[in-house]
Amino acid sequence: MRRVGSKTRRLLLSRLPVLMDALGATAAPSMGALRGIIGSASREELWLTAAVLTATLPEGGLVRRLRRLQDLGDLNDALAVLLESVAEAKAPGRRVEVLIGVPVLDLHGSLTGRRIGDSEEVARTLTSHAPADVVQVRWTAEHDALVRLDAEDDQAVLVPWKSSYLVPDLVDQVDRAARAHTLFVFSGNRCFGVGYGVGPLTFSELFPEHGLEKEVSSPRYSWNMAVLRASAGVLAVSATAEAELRGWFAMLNALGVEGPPIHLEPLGLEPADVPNASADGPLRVLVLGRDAAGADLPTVVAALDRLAADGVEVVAHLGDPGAEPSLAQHPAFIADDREGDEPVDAVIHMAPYSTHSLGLDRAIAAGIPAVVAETGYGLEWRGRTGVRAVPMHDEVGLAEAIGSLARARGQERPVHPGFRSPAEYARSVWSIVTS
Amino acid sequence: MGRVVRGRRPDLNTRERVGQALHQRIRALYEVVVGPAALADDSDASAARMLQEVLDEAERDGGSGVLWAAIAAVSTVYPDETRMLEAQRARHSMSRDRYFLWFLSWSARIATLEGSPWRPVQFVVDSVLVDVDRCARYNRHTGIQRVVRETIPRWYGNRSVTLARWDFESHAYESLPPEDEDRVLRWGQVPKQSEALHLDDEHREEPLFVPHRSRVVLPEVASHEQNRLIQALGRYSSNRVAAIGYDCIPLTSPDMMPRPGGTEFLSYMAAIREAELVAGISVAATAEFRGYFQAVAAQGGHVPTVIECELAVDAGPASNSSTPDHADPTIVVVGSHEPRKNHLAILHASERLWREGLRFRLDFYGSPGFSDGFDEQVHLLAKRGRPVAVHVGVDDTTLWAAYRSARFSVFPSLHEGYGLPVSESIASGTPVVTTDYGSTREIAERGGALTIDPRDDAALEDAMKRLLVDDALLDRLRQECASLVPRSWQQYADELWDLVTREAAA
Repeated sequence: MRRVGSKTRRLLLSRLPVLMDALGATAAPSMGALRGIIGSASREELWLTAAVLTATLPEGGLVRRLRRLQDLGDLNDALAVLLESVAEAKAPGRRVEVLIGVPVLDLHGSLTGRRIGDSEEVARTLTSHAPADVVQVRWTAEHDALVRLDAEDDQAVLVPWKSSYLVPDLVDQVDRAARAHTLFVFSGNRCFGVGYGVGPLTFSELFPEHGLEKEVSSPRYSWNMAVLRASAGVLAVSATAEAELRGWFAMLNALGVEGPPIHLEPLGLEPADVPNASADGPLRVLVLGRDAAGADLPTVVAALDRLAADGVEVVAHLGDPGAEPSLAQHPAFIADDREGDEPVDAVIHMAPYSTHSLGLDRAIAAGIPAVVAETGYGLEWRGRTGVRAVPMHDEVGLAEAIGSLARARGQERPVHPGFRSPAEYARSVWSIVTS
Repeated sequence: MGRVVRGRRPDLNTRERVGQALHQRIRALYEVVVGPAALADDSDASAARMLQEVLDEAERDGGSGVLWAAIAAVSTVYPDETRMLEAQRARHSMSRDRYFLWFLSWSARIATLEGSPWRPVQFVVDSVLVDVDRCARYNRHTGIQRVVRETIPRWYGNRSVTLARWDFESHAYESLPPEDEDRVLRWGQVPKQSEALHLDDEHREEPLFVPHRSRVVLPEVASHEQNRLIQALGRYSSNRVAAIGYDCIPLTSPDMMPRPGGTEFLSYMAAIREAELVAGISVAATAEFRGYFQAVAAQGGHVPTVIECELAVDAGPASNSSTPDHADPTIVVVGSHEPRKNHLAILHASERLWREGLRFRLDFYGSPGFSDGFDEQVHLLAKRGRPVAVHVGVDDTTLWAAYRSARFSVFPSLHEGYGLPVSESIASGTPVVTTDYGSTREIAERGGALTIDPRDDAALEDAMKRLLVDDALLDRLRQECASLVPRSWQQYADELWDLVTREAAA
């Protein structure tokens, strides 16, 4: 162990009252008092001690090391390790606040712009309908601690204690995930995550941005799953996502763990008042999805080409302005310049992989016919009135399905299956997280 | 420093030569798909007629196997999924004649820009092709390589097997040069060759392999580029793919892996998703792969059958146990030094036992992994005078002697596909303390072992203490070890062969 200076000791002592307050310790803050705390601390209290004194959320190695030194009775060595960690954390200006017994909502993933499935909408809904005492947080630029979402700098860090903690999107940046994993395993907080399925690990070729890049800083979806593995519960966005997660957690037997409980919690919908579909003119279709996993635009393009060759008039709108640029330029498509309430005659959901599609839900709730790929979430809708299912990548089948929609325009409308509202969704989720 | 293999650079400017190779490839394709070709007709017109017939057959076929073979043979590059879909869509949108011209120019462009247009092809039909790329090229010899080098030579002697590696650009399979074949079939029997840099591999002229109606066996984890093509081979070709399933550690335990790690493994799993069969090396590994494919099945597509085919263990080279040069009993720990192996827990338990006054040596055997503080902790204990040593790069004879002279071994790994050090310890007659779940538990349940929760330091310490102080317990476990007959590599090779070659997986 390397020597640390008096500055580090002063820094540690300056944070000690915060720790002692959180633990309900009444002695005067001193190194002796800290030694006493370490000597009798539970594993969770050691995590809290490391978090408060270093002003970072620790990684598992530090907690295990402190635990073993405590076990050996080498409390001076444990103090030395803590001082060394304080010095290494390089966070001298940070102040620490312990959040005790409150719901914490980690919105860092939303700030990064990284998303999977409908994670943006999930995060937005859970934020809009959060309990009054919720604390919204993000991670510091170094990914080593939590601060309030609206904090102007990274100096006032937060440590949750005896709290509930909810991650509505992804924890896949490796450095952040390593600390979140330790938070989930060691802290004693009740930690939850939303389960979007495991597509980036089972169909990785469709999710190159979720793990195939080789840069050290690249996010890794496997880390997101490692964090969820240690959670108190996972809130699956659909039956398909739930089935994927059950398979994934079955793998964990090899690690000697069972995996957390899975709660099926599909996202809610605002009721939509959509005008009737047009009776004549070109068939207007909305193509859902934006990327390889979500849209399969090559198949859609090929189907539209076939329809055009057969003289069937179709106007295709891209539902996502970020859809694959090269194909979005194809003459078959027009930019999605529809007004928000302008109707389309059908939606196309040809995702080769999906666990959920808010766009599809919205269309069905509005009584708009759909053509879906026979995969994932599309299978949940196959066989319902107003929904045509075609094999993945089958442009011939897709063209036939769109053609039949054009012929039967207005005659088939999906039956509204009774979606719950976003508020009901959020209420249900928060009730699980805070119970 | 590796060795550079110099080969003869083909004269690529000779259009005639490239044309002859194209004719050969089309003729070989035709003979496999349609039937014997007319003799001595090497004209362009003849080649065109043959290719047209093959494309007609591809359409009649209804599946995609003929189309996959046609693209692979004509372009010299196995198609990935994007190319398969492109070719299928082109056929759907074009007349027969136009499609022929499109296919020919499209394949020729791929061959020219990416492939090896001067090379002929050799179809591997109704046979078994084994991808041994890494074992053939490199001298690394740890877990997976040991399995390949013990198993494949036992197949090769008396069964029809084609060994293959990937060509220079990882676009197609090709044969093994003699030194590569030695690395796979005669490891340890011939002097070890230094690894070639393979700079001239891109100019090889030997035929490329095109498997057709065959079993393609993957006993290794392939690279990212290869996996993309293996995936399409499994999905679209007429071949059936079988893989050995070792473990899913990079997927489920990234916290125990080097950061970031696991990128190749992701594409490997996507590739074997399209296999017909995965042979898990233990019950635990089999369950792990089944869980993975259960997750895949939620999307509604094909998933492989996963069947257990337990690995073997040998009893090590015959040698007398070395006599320790010290009086204290020795505890042996085998495995690379990485967090997953849980070596810090062993050091902690040992320190507690030393402080209690127990006397023993602690010897680690294994390659350096990545840092979790192991080296520092060993250094600290050594400075305190604790008898702990780390042995790196020892040969098999030394390792087996260490097993045999130890009082017991310890292997409290947090995640294993098999746990070879547990089997090896028992096979050498030495009891072992190991993890009470997964594959290590399967091995331990047969006898010769104590099992513990590897996340419970106190349980590990207690088990080690019992084996240090309780001679009766140690003797009982030794007798259990002696009564067990290790599963042989011949048994493993035979069972695996039966699995991968049977008509359809159960």
